[in-house]
Amino acid sequence: MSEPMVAFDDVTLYSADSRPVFEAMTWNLARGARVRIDAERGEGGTALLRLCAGLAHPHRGRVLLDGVAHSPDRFDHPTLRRGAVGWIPQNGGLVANLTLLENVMLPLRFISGWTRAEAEVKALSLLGALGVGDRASQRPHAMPRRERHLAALARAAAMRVELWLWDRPLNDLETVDLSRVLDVLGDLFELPDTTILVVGNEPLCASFTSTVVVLESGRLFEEGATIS
Amino acid sequence: MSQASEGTPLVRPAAFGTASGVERSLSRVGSVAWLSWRCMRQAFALRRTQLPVLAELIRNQVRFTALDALPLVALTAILLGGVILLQVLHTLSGLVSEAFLSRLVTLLVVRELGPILVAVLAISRSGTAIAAEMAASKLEREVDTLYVVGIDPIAYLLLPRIVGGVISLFTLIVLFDVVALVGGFVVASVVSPFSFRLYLGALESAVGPAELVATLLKAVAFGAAIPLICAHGGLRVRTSPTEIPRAVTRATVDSVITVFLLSALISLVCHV
Repeated sequence: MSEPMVAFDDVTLYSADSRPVFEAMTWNLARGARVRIDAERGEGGTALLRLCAGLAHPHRGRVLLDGVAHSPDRFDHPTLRRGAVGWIPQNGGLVANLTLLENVMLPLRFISGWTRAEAEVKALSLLGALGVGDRASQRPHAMPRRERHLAALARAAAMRVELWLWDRPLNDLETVDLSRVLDVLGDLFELPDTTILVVGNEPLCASFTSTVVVLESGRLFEEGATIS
Repeated sequence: MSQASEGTPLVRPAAFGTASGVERSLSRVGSVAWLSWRCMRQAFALRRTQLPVLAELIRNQVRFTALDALPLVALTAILLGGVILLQVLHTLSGLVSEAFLSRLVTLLVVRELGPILVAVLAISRSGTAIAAEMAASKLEREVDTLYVVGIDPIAYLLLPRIVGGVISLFTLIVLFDVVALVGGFVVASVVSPFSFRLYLGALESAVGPAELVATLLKAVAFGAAIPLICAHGGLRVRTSPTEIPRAVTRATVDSVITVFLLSALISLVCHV
């Protein structure tokens, strides 16, 4: 059996005010799974994604990405270092002093070693396909969250990431945007090794996810059974 | 309950709570040293294909720190060179020869005042900007994003600023020295007649290999220390934008103190 893409091993996490967010949670996200976490705001959906990305570290237990544990003391992770994770937080997570185009080009040039010209062609085609090509030369602060969110998707798509960590798509995107995203990125989502973990309670997410896991009171429920 | 951490751990957590001022200062020094070590390690881990991206960032840093600062540095250099030459001539004229006075001014400017003043100008213009930018990046979670998408924040955010800082400081110090010595002579000669031939001879005899080595060492030390300390100060903000002004102030003070200490150390090693 292949290694799970993300494994939570007895994870306990408390919020800043010492409220338990997760308690002794053990859960595996299988490679190739397409999972929607159905969570209301404040239930810990974003915290779950941050744990997966290694941006938050549990008070007890450990989180393994691709078989290697995240650690606050070791400042790199082989899976992250090769650009295999697509990170689409609610604000888009773009670098403020780069244009949308440069944001999409950055991992292609820095991690994959593409030339500037090659990366520019790829980035422009993706931004254009997602409907923000005309704003490619603008910086993120000059535009609404919708465009930032689409640019973050283009950045992940350009790298053909193995794990998509996507926080509440319809918070910023219109339904029509999401349909376009699925038209453009649907093939990527369908690749056998692509794993999707999306947080959001929008039924439209069902079109690209196959499993729903409910997050409530720090516990995960799948198909009517508690799994943590 | 063990300690959990939130966000990309670029800098060591600060000593808080009941820690004394000395403990907090030592904690900061240790944290800067740790960041320096990681910068060095990251520099050796860079791949050739990453260099063009970093070269663009270095170019931007040099443009902001050196090119945009040229008028300010040149003006400061002319005024300082002229004032020092006039003061020395006014105070010591008649007691010692003109050649000695010229040599004294040259040594003062090239060995001490030039590097120190350029460093202070760089801290006030670029160091504060770096600290504020890093703090904003941290609060906007850009640092986190870089980390997750596979771009090492140290390689991307810090290394270009350090390399750009070294190049800029070296350029500005050399420019400052030249403008202060030549421009200073012009300003001083308007007020008091002064032999240019004697002055030039004194310059020649005063500036030797030790001065060049000291200038190079100071440029490297200041150019690396200022971005590093200022970036470190900015990256230590935790949750609120209200921390940014304090972080910038602390980074500025730490940088100025470090520059003075380094200057004294290098001068002792090179000239005593």
